[in-house]
Amino acid sequence: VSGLEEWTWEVDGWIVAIGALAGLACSIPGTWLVARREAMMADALSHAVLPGIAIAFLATGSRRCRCGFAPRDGSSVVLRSE
Amino acid sequence: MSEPESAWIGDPHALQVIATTALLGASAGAIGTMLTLRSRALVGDAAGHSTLPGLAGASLASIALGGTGRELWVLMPGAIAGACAGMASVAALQRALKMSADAAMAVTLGTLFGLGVALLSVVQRAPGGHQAGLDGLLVGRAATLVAADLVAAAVLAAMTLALFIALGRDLRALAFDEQFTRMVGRPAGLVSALVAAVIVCAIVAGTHAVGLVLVVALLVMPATAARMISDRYTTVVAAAACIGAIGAASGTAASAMLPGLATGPLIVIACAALLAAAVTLRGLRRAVGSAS
Repeated sequence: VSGLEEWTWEVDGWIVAIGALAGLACSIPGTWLVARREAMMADALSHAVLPGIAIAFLATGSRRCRCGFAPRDGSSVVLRSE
Repeated sequence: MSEPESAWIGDPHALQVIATTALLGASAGAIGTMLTLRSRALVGDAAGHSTLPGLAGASLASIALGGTGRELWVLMPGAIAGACAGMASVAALQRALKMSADAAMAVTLGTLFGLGVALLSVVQRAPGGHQAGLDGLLVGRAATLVAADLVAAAVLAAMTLALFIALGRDLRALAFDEQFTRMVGRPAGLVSALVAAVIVCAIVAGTHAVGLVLVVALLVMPATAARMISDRYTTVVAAAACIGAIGAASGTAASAMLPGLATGPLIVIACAALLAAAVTLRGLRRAVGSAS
């Protein structure tokens, strides 16, 4: 388990910034979903992304357009496709 | 635990697995009507995902006490506690904080599943707890179903059948008009609690067959398909049980024949195909009905 002493702004700073931006980008349209009582729409749409990713990977053999970070310790459980 | 799916083609073990998933599908399909008819389909999703923190917490406790972290008698109470917590949380958020149903389900699902994934990574890093086979529960581990699982599925089916036989009229009243159930002096709260208990059992059992992420499909899809074919309550429940059993059995058989494809997703795809067939049947019937 790595502690704060391994923190490097060049790497971790960007990860935190991207996480914050993702939170911002999701929470603003999220108000629309909550107001319209369609919160579970987000769940349905985000799950529907998975077959799209799988088809795109099968078609191109490339994962380069993937957005998002796998944790550095490899603890990603759900979407481990390697 | 990581036995490949293809290892059981042509094995007599395959028949046992098919019987187990078929019983699970029948029970989940029948009790699922109580979710769809009351417009609470996604409560099953929230409860299914909520089993993960329970499973991971139980596994962690077992490892801390020197166990392997995968004893079923430790994991199952954990899963049941998680699913109950999920259902209670949805109800509490709606009642106490006046949240709308969708927000209450999304908040519950997100919080508890997030907690579960976080706990799971702790379990995986714990000494001796490498994997503990827990990630198999996310998408099911049907190939490793054993005789005890068949017994559990049979008990679940018997419980569901007993519930529908003993309280059929109350279930029907509850499904369509909860107020009416209370007005005629029936214990609506108790009946609701019994239904919730059977749903929790179906979810926990279904976790092994299709995985906790997809278990909602086993509850909701057969019931939705059955509702497409009939307007009569009894027929809908019976049809949902049949569709669930056929979907689960054919999905399991397909996964036995197609090596490398996981059973849980195939069961869900089979149920989706049956739903599509039911939709087509309804469309054809309507076309014939309006033509004559």
